[in-house]
Amino acid sequence: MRLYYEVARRAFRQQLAYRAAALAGVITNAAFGCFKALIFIALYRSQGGQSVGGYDVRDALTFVWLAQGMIAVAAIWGWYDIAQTITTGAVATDLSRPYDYFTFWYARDSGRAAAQMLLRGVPSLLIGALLFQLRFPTQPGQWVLFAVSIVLAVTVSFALRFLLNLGAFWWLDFRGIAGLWNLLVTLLSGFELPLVYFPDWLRGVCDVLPFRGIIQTPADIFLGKATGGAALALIGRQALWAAVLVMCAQLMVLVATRKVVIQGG
Amino acid sequence: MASVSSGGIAPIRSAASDWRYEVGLYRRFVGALVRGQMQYRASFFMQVFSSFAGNALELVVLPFTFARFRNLAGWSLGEVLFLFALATISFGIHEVVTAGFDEMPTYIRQGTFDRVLLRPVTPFMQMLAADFAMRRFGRAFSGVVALGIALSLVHVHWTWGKALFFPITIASSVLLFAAITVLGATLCFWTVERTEVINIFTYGGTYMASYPISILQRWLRQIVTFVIPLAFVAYYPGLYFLDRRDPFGVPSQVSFAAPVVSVTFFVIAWRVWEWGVRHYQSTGN
Repeated sequence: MRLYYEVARRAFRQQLAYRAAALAGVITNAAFGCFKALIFIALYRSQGGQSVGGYDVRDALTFVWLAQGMIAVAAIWGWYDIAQTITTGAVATDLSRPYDYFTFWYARDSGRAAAQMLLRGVPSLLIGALLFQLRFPTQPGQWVLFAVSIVLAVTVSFALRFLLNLGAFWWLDFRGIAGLWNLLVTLLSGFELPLVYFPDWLRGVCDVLPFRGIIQTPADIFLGKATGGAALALIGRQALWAAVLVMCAQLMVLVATRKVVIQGG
Repeated sequence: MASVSSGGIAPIRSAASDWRYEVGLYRRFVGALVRGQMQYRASFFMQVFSSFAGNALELVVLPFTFARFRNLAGWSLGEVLFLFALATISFGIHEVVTAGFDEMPTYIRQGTFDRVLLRPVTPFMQMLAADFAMRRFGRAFSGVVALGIALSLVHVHWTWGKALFFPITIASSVLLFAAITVLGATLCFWTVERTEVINIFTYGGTYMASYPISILQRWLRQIVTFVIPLAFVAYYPGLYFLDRRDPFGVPSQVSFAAPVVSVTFFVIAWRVWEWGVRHYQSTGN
């Protein structure tokens, strides 16, 4: 346990070293947040301010800024750290070290996510709150549930990324697959457009898939769209997916270690 | 080839033949790059498809949005898709052509740019010839698909003038995006690393240009008209193609200013680049 804690702590500090990059990231996320917010404001104005899919303009704007904050925290796109070790062959030594391979990377990612929360997640949301009228949780309990939901969101996102990265064992050129994958996550998590605006049939599909756990579920809780039992049910489903995906990931490590093809000498 | 192998000393040429020489070299380089990329067919098509899919997202999201909302500041789905198509096709072409400039951080960090300065070809041409990323055509292709959908939804009254102005608009917008990329690359002379902030103007630029500029506040509209003229990528030309008027009374002739604005902006970017090259200090070793 101590080992994983140290790993997480180091990953956290490593991230903190890149403060200039984080600042650039926050500015970029904020600029995109502003474009998206302006589009929603115009859409709602043409609607005469009526709510759509249960969201009023304030909900929509809050969703936009939550999602912008989650980009770095959940590392939605372009996280290929493990795939790179597979291409370089470093994975062979990583796999033979005396620790649990999945837990080691999970600890690292938790440290990374916690640092990104401070560097990019919270600042993005604060900028959004400064520039636009957002809706914040009113009950302390909501904040607690939201925090739990964020931890689960990072776990689900990590387990999915882990599975994708391990795919590099089978597909040595894996950029094409990664591109498709990014598309899938961006759409089905609600990042690009909140799931409440989706056609009902697709929304139903998204509700049973794990991706909504990365963005839509934490947002539902933050916005108070799910409270009490409903919020617990959402978190339960998130936790269930997290457990299933972690088991899949462990299984895949087992299969992959049997198949391991080491590149180079 | 004779002029290349003349003992490493650049032969004296007139400005005009210089120009022709550089274009000739560029064609050779790009030809080699294209042939190289086509060696790995399966991998190449996979990447083109991935670039297409990544940008086709809007083709799904926009119809979803317009199924729930009536319109966007008076613009219909087809009209917004038309703007999206203009912006995406030109951004996509620009992304293929100017890919070499994305290599700037590597060139500066590894000191390769010092070598660029020693060769008897302008650094601008060398960076342009450093890459020709065919795999990125997927984005332009997603713009073509968007255009198809847009034209099936909106009835555009095509005239000879519009048919002629369409390719001019695309070329002009490619130039405008190229100018932004060149400016971003110039910044690397000082920052070394490519800063993520540039994405606001490149990816953010095409995102913003895909929507009617009239949804922005006055000061932002002025910035995208006069400072970084993104409004000329799709919005102002789009007003002409779609027979719309700007709600803030911008005269309709402004649509035709797009090529002039783009060329001017590109020349400025080019000059800034040359100025950056003169002020470049090697990172040393």
